[in-house]
Amino acid sequence: MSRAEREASAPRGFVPRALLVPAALGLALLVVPLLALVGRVEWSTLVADVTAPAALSALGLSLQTGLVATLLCIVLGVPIALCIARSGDRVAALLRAVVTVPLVLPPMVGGVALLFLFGRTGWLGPLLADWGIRIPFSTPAVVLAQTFVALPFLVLAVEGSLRSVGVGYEQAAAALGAGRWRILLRITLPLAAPGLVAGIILCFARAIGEFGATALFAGNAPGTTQTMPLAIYTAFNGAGVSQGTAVALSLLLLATSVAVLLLVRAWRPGAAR
Amino acid sequence: MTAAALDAHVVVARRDFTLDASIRVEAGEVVAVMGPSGAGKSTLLGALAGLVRPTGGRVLLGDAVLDDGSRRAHVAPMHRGVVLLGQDPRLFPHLGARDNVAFALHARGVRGVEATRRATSWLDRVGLGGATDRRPAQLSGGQQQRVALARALAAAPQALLLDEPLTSLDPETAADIRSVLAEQLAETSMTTVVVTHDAIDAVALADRLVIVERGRVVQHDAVRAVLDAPATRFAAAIAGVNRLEGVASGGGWASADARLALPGSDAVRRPAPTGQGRALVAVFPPAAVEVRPGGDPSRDPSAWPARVVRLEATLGGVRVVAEADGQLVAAELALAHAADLALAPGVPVTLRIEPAAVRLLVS
Repeated sequence: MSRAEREASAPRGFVPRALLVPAALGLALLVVPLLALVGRVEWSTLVADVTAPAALSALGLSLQTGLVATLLCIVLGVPIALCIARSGDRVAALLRAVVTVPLVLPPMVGGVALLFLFGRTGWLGPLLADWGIRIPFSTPAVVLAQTFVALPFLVLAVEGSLRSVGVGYEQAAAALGAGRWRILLRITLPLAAPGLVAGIILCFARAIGEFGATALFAGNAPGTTQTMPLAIYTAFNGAGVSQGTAVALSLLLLATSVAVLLLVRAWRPGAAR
Repeated sequence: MTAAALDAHVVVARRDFTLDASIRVEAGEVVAVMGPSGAGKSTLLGALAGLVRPTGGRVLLGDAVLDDGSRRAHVAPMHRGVVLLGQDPRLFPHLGARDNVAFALHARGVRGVEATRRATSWLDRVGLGGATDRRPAQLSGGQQQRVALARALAAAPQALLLDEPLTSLDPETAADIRSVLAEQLAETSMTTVVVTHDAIDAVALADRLVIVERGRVVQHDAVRAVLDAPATRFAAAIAGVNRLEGVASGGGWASADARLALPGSDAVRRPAPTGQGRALVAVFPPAAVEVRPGGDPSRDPSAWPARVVRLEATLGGVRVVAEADGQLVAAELALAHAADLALAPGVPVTLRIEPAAVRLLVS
């Protein structure tokens, strides 16, 4: 079927035409600010702005912490997703609610919560201090904050994918004599790959965009905890990088988001690879 | 191949249903299991495969205890040496046909080139030599079931369980796969349990037939013996014969209230001594029932007044199901003959049963 035929045969229903007006306004609200941002970009100095030492440092830190946080999310999140997907309905609903809380929680609150766990007077802080480990306001704190806010994205995406695949293929593999690890690596995870890839991409995007929890829990120290979003915020408050750099970094984050979106959309399970 | 004897007594107690069935399959033997829907056939296979944990009984495969009703003795599906092949072939959708078969070989430690070589040869054996790289989605239903069979056999199980493997296929494809199955089961001397709803599968594949009804085994014997002497109404239905319960009467058979009778004659096959009034079952094929117009049986004692209940199409004819004194009797007629009789539900007819085709059995 060609695209035109598909569109012609798509169900149209009977929605009031007047709703086109608020729909158009809403779309404008989503798109126009981003156009305004792009409009402010000083294209002539773009390269110089992005490669300014302060900008490069923020960019590098964001990429490193974002990647480490994403790895951490995979290592912790895939097992959580497997637990949820293979539990009974009630346990699964409970676990899913627990995982979803950080998703709907203002990240600022997450930052405060992390501080109360790892801070000097927190539950774990003093214990870690005895070992000479101090987490708040360090680069590991950035990673922890990013993991905290990004983990739910990965878990929910992978869990949905695992659940829709079901256990039938696992049973078939077990009946053929395959062990649990072989079933996981050769059957379960490959079949859940679409959700896994989407989850990883969303997770990474969320991690590098993280601001609230990082600001409270990790602080804003250039070079160790000042990631791109923090650098942008600081610049508009008149300190750190120049505003031109801030706009350039914003553009970079926007471009990253669009790229992420395209990557997720381009991933089609079963497509010729 | 190391086929082993399967000796199972499976008890699965659920709130509203209890399965309590024993089944024994000698090494290399094929046993068919038939029964009405909900009789517990699939639960039985699930328990043998280890997907359902029995609440009692004992499952032995060769010398190994796979289950004895306790959690501790339960052997997980992957360690039982038993492969279950169901109606849904459950081919791994992300692997090609050959890789699906190779998965079973990898699972038992066959590596690399050797696994590929053996997987290809298994696909050849089930008649799929050319389709090795195709994904399951690119294969027809029959081809998928062939790959699933190759994969199951490649796992070299000690016993193979087939749960209605031909049900989702069209008749022609089912016939093809049935002959591939028969061939491979014979060639590999596989200990096999096949659950089916089609007597043809039992005849074509199995040595013995077990009938399960309401969670219990109601008959088990050689396939031929079960079809010749069905012990229940269901067994009679799969054998395609009439089975009427009654009592011994004057050397012949009569219904409980004596309104229907099959007088004794030398032509009637019957068990040796049949004391008057003893419970006796009359078994006869629909083709041995003659249908005459009108409900007046004259004085022939083996002609019964009846009323047509329904008509069913058969290959080249009509099956007339008529009610005679509360019992349903099936008769088979040529289409033209049925048209002459102007049969329709509710029409009165007379049924005459050919004595030479009747078997009387002690029930």
